[in-house]
Amino acid sequence: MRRKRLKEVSHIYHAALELPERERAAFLETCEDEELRQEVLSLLNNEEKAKSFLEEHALEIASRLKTKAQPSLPGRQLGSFNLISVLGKGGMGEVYKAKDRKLGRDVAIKVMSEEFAQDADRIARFQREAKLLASLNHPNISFIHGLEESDGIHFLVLELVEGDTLAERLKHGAIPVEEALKLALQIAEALEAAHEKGVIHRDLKPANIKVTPDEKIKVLDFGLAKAFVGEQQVSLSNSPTLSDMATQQGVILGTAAYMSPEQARGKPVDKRTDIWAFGCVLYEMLTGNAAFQGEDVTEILAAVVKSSVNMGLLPANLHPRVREVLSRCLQKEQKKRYRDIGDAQYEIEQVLADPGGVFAQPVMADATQKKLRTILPWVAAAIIVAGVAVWFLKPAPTPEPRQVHRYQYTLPDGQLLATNSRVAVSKDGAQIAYVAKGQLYLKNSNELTAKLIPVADGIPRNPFFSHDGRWIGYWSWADSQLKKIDTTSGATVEICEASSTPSASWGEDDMIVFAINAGIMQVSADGGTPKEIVKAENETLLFPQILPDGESILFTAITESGPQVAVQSLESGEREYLFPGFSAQYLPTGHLVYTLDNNLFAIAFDPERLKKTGSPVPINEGVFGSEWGSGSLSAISDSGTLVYVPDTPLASSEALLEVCTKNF
Amino acid sequence: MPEPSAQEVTKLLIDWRQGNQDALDRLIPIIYEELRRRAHRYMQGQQKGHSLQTTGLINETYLRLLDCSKVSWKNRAHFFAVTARLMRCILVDHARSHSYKKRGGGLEKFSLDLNQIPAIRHDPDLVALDDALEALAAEDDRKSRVVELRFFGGLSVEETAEVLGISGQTVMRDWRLAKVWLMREINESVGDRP
Repeated sequence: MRRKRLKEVSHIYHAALELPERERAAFLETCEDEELRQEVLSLLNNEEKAKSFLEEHALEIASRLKTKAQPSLPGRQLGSFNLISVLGKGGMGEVYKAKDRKLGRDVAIKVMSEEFAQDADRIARFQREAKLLASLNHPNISFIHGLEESDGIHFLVLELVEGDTLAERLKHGAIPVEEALKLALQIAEALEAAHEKGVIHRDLKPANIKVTPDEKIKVLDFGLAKAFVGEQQVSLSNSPTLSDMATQQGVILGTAAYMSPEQARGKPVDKRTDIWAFGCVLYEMLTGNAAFQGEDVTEILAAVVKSSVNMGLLPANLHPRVREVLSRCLQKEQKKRYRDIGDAQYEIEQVLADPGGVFAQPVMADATQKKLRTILPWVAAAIIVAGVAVWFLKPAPTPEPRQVHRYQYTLPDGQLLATNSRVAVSKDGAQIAYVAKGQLYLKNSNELTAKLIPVADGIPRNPFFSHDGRWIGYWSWADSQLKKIDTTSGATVEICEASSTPSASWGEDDMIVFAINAGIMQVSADGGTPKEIVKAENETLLFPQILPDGESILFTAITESGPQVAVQSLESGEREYLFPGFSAQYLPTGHLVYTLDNNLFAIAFDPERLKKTGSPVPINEGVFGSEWGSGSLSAISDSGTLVYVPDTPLASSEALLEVCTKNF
Repeated sequence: MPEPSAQEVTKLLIDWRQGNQDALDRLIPIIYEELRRRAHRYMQGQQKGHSLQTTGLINETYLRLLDCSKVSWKNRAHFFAVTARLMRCILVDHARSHSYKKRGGGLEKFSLDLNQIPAIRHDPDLVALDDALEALAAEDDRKSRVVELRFFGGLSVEETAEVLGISGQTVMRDWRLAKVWLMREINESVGDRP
């Protein structure tokens, strides 16, 4: 039976998906056909896992088939290096001990994966970074000699450091306090030297710290995390494939435990991320236990973000200054942490120099401990809860929309609204454009019915108004062109060629930004060659709009975790995800209006700081078609006129537009 | 075989659409050859580190082979459908020839460290997927075509909707269910075997 009746299954499946998760079971209980019910349940259980499945073009996957596991290389020669033995399997590939025949010294060689070798951008970026990293010359930092290539194999040449890693050392339990502090001091010195040069480690953990037989610290892999992945932030928490993999591999756990809360959230990091990791390492040296633990990545990250460390495990009479160092390093909020690792270093030096020793009166310690407990913030946890809660709570002080004019416009018989095209409203709210049966229609607020705007050739899609409302821009399906049509004279002008363009906006300066598969492009409304201003990285970008400062762009990014509203600097390319949402549009009233789960929200937004400044206010419920892709059927004008298709069960076939004007 | 001109290919496409089955038989090798060349060039480019766009592949093929001014959008849609099917054949063959063994859940490779997170992929086994798609087609042909057009053809939701003559919303619903169905099918077929 299991493969039978897919159509019936589909019906129930989608109905169940519409419901909140907790209500699904009850809903399925109403289905009397047990087999059918089991089938739907089984599919629903796979829903989450299937999100990223097949989201990449088959060609990409096929081209990776050639990437076979690398043969083991010992005994081989690589340029002027003789590979002697395998030291381990590290982050980016295998690590070998090797002899440099030219300079007659032993080195460590990290062979990059073949995948790396195939990515020219990545190599170029890595080469730039390697140069910077090679300038880090400090006794506590393992030296990077450079990135080389031989026979198509790319490899990093590193200083060979003898000895165990701190991780291996910690397997035997806590390290005596004085010794731990001395080691910590050297780690701090390494961080300080790197931070002075503007290099952040980003992946500091016991496995990356070597302790030589004479108790010298060498921090490995400085800055390689960034060199390897670039500025792009890796968020563990939103990667479904990752958690799958991690439970099977059990390896990423080691990294997650030392991630700062900002890293765990995929936020930008600075040197305070290293300060956090330093706190984790110090804690572990003193207690023999990882500061943040969990059964899997999700649990660990949850602990990183909201639990405070168990200070009770620290040696009871530990010097209060050390406790203070830990507390300051392990503040969830970046700004409450030490600004500079030098501060931690100073404190530790003071403790080591204290003639009273590294221990203090137990009473003191208890007092500090109490104080600490109150300091350690639950702020991070609160943010998360608030982030979820605001969607359900109506924020009290936000002004309610004042005047609401609402009218429904029912499309005349024979006009079937194209749900694969957007609707548009002019800036002043007076005109609405939509596509029905492959034709473009324009509805004026002072006219009863819409008029047909005859488009000479092609099939218009996704209309958008010029700033002055005189033109309607649209994407022409048949010839893949971005075009505009004069609403009074009917003259059509080609703007540029464009592959599928689900969304575009027309700025005051007569520049148009539009989304295509490859990213976001900009072109003059008079035509010309479009310029790529945002490159899509395995993601879909939609609803671009240049913000009033002219220097940043607002858009929706369909990420693995769902649609996110994002802003990106045009100059630096730095991107910030603001919140989950779809089709956000900036209004001159200082709001972003966006949809989420078929509801429309407005949120106060500061276009200069590019930050939201308030909580979302629901402004309309039941907006159709906002879940995905190009068919988002709502638009809002600068004046607050909202056009949308009500989310009725038959929305796609019912020809209805609801227009509503609100001031907020 | 001398390369056919855009006019010839266009005529074949139109003839086929008007019911001439021979035209399709002549059309397919032409598209196949062009696609195969492009696909292999793409894969080689990836090997060498050139970054190329995948998504435009079918559109490019279309632009290269046909005289666009003479093709109606309906014919273009059919061209896309055929091309996506051929692309599926090419890539599944390619996967087969790489003696790509089935693995649990199609987990092709993992990496072991934060540094490699971008490389973590849940690569589906294309051969197993091909079988699963056949099974899906037996159940619900439209859903399997949605997957073929989107995954193998690289068509957008819109283009897929156009080709199949359904709404974008329906495409998304089909896509969503088909993905879950196929994933489960593949996982189970792997699990069934010793």
